[in-house]
Amino acid sequence: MSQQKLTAAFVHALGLTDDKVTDDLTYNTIPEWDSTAHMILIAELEDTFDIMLDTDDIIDMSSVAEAKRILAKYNVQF
Amino acid sequence: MIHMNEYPPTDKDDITLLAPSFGSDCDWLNEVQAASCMPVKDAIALSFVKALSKSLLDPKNKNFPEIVALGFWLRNVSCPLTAQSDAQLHKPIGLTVHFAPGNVDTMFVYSWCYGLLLGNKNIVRLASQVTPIQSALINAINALLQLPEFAQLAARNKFVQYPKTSNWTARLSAIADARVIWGGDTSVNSIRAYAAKPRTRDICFADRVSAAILNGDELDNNDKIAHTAQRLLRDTLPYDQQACSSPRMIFWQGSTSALTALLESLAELLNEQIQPSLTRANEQLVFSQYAAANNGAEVIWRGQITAIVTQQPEAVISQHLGQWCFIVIPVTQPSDIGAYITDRFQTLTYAGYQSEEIATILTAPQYTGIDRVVPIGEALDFNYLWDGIDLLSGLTRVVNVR
Amino acid sequence: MSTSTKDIQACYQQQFDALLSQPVFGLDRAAKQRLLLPLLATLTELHQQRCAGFANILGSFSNESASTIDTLPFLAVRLFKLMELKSVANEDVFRLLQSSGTTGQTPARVTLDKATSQRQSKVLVAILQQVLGKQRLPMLIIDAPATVGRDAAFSARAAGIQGLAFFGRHHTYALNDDMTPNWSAISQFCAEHGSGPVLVFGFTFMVWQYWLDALAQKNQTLNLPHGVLLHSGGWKKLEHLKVDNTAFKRTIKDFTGITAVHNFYGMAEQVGSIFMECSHGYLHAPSFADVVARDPNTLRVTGFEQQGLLQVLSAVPTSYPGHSLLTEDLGVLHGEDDCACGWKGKYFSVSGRLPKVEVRGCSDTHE
Repeated sequence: MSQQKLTAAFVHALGLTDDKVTDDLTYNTIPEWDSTAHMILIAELEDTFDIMLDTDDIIDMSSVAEAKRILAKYNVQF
Repeated sequence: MIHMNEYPPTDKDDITLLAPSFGSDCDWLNEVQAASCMPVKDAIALSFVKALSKSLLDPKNKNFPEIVALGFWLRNVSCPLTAQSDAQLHKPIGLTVHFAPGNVDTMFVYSWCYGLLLGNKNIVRLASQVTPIQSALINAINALLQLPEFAQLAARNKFVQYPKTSNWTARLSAIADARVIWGGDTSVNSIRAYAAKPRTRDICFADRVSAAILNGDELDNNDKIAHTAQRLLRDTLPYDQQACSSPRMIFWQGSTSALTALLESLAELLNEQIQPSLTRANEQLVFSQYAAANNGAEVIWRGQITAIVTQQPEAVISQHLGQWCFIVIPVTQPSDIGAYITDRFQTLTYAGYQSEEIATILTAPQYTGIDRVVPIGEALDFNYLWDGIDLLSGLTRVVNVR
Repeated sequence: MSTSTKDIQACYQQQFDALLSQPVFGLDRAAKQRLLLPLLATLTELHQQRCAGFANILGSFSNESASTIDTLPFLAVRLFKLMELKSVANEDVFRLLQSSGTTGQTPARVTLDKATSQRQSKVLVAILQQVLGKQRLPMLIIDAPATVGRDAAFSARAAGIQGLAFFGRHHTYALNDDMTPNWSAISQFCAEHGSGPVLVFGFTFMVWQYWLDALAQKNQTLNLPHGVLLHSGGWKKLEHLKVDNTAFKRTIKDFTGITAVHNFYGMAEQVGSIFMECSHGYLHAPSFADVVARDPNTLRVTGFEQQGLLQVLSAVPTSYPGHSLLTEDLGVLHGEDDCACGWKGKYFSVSGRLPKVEVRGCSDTHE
């Protein structure tokens, strides 16, 4: 359930297709995920999971895998 | 000073109402003057800000980093006024006229937003240069102001544009209860020269410079270096390092090799994120050679970044045009920065220190500068406490009841 | 072991005299390596000793002595607008050259002593003789007297006219002070001198907009079959009219009969050392100078036919450290020693100025 919501957030914010959202997808390695898109993504994740990320987490969220690790700190189960 | 009854009548076509852009616009001035203020932190205003935030964060704005950053900021804007009690009432100041700066198209929204949330009526004068970002913002604002639920806001918030030659600055100054003036210095001075009402408040944001203080002794592994570089990049990436809150100077405690490692890490990140530029390397050459010739500064070039190491930043700061040049001042301990603090200093970002250490230094009465101390990475996060001013109290009046 | 200034100056003088005796467009790469490179290295050493600012700047460049011309240190040309850089004592200053680029900009300040000033003239004469011959020619100046008049603001145009006036006689201004053609002066000049060799000089856009255009509007042609047109200043102001070198030359021929047209590229920061257009339309580095193109993004040397920032080197300046400058002009090097015109040396074209840096951050753009 959470995985689906996570993928949907990445798909919408970054303008990607489902299959591109793999654990090793990393920030700044594709044109779609630059610093601007990153902010849109953060807002989307916060709304989707009803949480508020702190600055360190925003900056550290460098990949899909990292996103899962960070969201787990906010009690999101994967 | 130009007095109220001295300016000649102006041509009505001299001014353009950009938003709200529907309905009869010839009465917009009467409409906003006649309306009463809203209550402080009214639900309608809060709802508007939320809606604007959502609109700006739409992926269609991907190519406008400034708009997305603004949308992101609007999510969390709050007005933490002390709770209203019977002994103290918070009321809006009244009609606030905002003079937006040139070259930073999103800036007016930050202060207008506080004006709005605090219940004020607002007239925002936008920069004369029409840009894609300005248009996108006006379109987003217009789309919301058209909605019936925001009709009350449409009557009380007007966005205008007029040429340099107009006398509208004089006219708006004469009716403003507060003027929020974004600079640089010359703009601020020339707008203030226009007479306002005896109790009109001026909130002025003029030329400032900012710095970072970094504890290189703490950067003892690659992870920490990369971590710091990431945040330094965040603070400097927009506007080619020319934003007033972006650090142009770095107070560096630590070894030269650690500094070089940090700059290399930053250069690597930068290479991934900025476009090649015809002018950047030449600008860096001019700046670094000027610094070297002028006061023997040592020059470090790493990829797209130049740093000059000097004990005399004041000799070169006027030549600094951003472009990924850093003025590095070696210090042996944080209190050393005292010798360099002037009233032009706005933001000091820090890494590798406790905020209390820095705060203690700044309590000394002889320091007239540094209005903001925030962790590295947060330099550009706007806040109602800005340039030493509290916007919340600046745009409200406090009624004392006993 | 550091050499004394006197020794360096003596060494330089020898090297310069050796260069002066060479054919202006006859030095190939190997010859420049042999004759020009050591001279430029001597100048670097001289200015290091005599100019503290320059010495400090050298810290950013490698300590090793340069093995080729493109490994010599270089200065950003804008420095001369920002500060004073000189290698002579105040009492030896002969002239302070000031040249404003565009309106509102601080002028560049170039300090000349007698020796450098004389050398500038010598070199300019040697170069211009290659296209003008040795005689001083009747000169038609496509500009107005007010440009160099006593009350005139100093400008690049005034500098150009004054610099070249030496090569002409019977100086005649083709324009009135209001920039309309002085038809009587022009026709008198053509009547008196037109049958023989004459020198016509003007800034490129002036020649087009105030002379050729006026002739076209009047439907008039002049006949100067032995004339030589020297022009400078760049094509930027004619960009919007889509005038290029070929169109320019054709129009000159059609309206004035002049077929010997030579554009030249130079700057106040390296007076005397000009790059002259050859018979095949390329700018050439003379024996006293050289040019390098650098990638604007990395400042590393680029190859032929790749646009880069032009670095210009000159054997002339001893009173100020202007012998190796990175300009703010973009250009393309086309080759070296093999130009079809027969002149040796590097040959290139200038594309235009670097764009101005965008000012960002809150600024005073309105009010």
